[in-house]
Amino acid sequence: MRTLVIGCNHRSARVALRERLAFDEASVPRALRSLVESFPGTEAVLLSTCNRLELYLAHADQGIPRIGQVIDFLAGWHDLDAAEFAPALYSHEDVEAARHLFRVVSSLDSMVLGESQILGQAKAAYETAKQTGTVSRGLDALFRQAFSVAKEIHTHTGIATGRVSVGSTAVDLARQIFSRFEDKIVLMVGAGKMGEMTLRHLLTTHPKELWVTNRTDPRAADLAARLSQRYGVHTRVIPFAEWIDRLAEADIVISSTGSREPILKAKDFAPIPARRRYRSLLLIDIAVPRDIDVAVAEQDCVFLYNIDDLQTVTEKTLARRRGALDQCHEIIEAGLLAFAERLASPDLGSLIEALSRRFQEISDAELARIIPKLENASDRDRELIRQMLHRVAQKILNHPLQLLNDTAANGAARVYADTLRAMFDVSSQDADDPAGRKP
Amino acid sequence: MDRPLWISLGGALGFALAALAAYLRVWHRSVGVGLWLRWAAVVAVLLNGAYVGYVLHMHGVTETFRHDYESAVLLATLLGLMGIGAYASAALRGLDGFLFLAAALLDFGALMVIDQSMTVATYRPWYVSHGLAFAVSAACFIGSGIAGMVYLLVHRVLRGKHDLSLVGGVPSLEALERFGRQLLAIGFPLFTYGILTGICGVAHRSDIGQQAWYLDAAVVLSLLVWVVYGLGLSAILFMPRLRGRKAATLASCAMFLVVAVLATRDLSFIHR
Repeated sequence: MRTLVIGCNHRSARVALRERLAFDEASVPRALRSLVESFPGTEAVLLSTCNRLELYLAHADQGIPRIGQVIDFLAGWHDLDAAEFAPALYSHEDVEAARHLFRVVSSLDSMVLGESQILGQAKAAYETAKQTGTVSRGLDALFRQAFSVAKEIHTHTGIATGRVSVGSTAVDLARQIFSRFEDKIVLMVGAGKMGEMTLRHLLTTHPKELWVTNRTDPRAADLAARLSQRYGVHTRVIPFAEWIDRLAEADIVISSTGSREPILKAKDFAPIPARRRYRSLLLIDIAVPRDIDVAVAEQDCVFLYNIDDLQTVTEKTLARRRGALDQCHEIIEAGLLAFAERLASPDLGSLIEALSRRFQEISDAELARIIPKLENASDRDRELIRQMLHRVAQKILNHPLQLLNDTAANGAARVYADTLRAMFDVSSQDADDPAGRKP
Repeated sequence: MDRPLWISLGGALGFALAALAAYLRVWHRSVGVGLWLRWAAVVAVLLNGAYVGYVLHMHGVTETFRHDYESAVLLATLLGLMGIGAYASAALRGLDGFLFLAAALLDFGALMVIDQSMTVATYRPWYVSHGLAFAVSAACFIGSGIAGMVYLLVHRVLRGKHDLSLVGGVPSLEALERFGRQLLAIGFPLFTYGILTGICGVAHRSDIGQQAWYLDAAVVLSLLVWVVYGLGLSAILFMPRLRGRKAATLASCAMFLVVAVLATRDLSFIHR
């Protein structure tokens, strides 16, 4: 089994490139299907977040698909010249690919070290791929092991402690600009999950009002209602057409829409500072592609932070978490070892299948021998005898199979598997070949 | 000579220790230094205050503030009190270290003017309010200038998107701006009063004769400071465009003008 990961992240590619390579939620299943059609027999998971785009692929044959083919696929999908983005891509194979995934889901490779969002995003990407039917044994085992490693790291190390995330960084920024919040208005543009998470952090400062705007008013109303109930903040839904005009009153703006173009341009913003009497305005643009034109920040009173800027800001505050990195790496290496052992361990699924088949064959053979002798037996009697034999076979097998399952995670499984093969005359070939029959 | 030396050294050391403790607390997150900070600054303020009180008791108000040394110690005490106030205020905590540092420098600098005093002609009752008004307004202007400099630092860190921990323990831009504005609002009227009493005083002096007192270095610089702060305060109040960084830059630069006024008293023939 060959495993391959290819992609880019906040370190290898600037936001301008990442936003061109990003997949929106709706297009991921289509892309996965298209990818699997392009490379038959390939398993695929597509992880597309604000900070990274990664394709995890697995194929039974080495060398398939080639890295160049995957790059061509991405170029074709996004209608880009491969030369534009290929230098920003990285790739890892086999053990290195597994190590990379473990690092990613454990948030050791995240913009904000130790943040927990990436684990949820990776789980969502894995579920999407499963529902699309592009995940099988190879990636399934890899991702399950990755989630297990991430859980252990988050539980047993200090990597996730402290206030470091896009949301808490936004709060720190706000506190460095404003001294009190009871007279401040927070404006949320868009109703996405990332924006909501950031907003939830900001609402802990107890602002005077929360205004929410979105292209679809019902989503804005829903978000406003939920947050009002949760935080007791006075909320108001602003029509999307009016939100730029309302910047004259707002103090903190979080923008997180799915727009492909900036929704706040410098020329639209130009009259706003004077109307605000040049009061400070904090703009947090966590959308990819970016929602706010960088030229907006030319005004002294405007503090504009996009997703890349937040990375810069949080870099130093993460130093404490970096202290836990050695311990995290130890857990990852242990996880890799466990994963390698699992891959090398006997294929219990096929052995169990072969054992069941063997018992079924014995039962069928006995039935074939005895049935002709039961001249007076009705069809119902023959069916009952067949069912009885089947149940006996299942009951005999029940305990050994349970034992195999219970010991799957340790070395004893191999001993039991070999014993069962020897006892019931099931060869490795039987186990590997579902269609195989004893002569 | 001995007493002022120890007072200045003690005061400067106390304020310097308080500034160091503030630095450790703000930039190194050292816990447990708060008490040290508070007491070092309080001891320095008490030491300076006790000295000024003693001289006042012994020599009277006008004789006390006729001497540059006592005026400098009074200014350091006022800045030290401002620093303790900043420390006590949740919104301004972090600014205290800068104010203590200024107080320490003033206390130490006072040693250089121990033997300097005003002309005997200033030995008049009007001089008390003139001198006190200048001392308090200078403290306000220096405090406002320090707030402006810290504002510029925080603004630069935020706009430059640098590590927030660089300014994590200092006040927010909003608090700094408000504090600077309030100090200007207190300092400017007092400074105006100081200038008016100075003009009244010099107009009644017979010893100046035909000399053009309005060309005196201290008078010219004081008027320049008054114009700068007057324009600055008007601009901040009536021209919102000048709020924030521009106002902070103005306050910082004007602070150096105030220091220049204090330093040029030696060149002033109406004061010597």
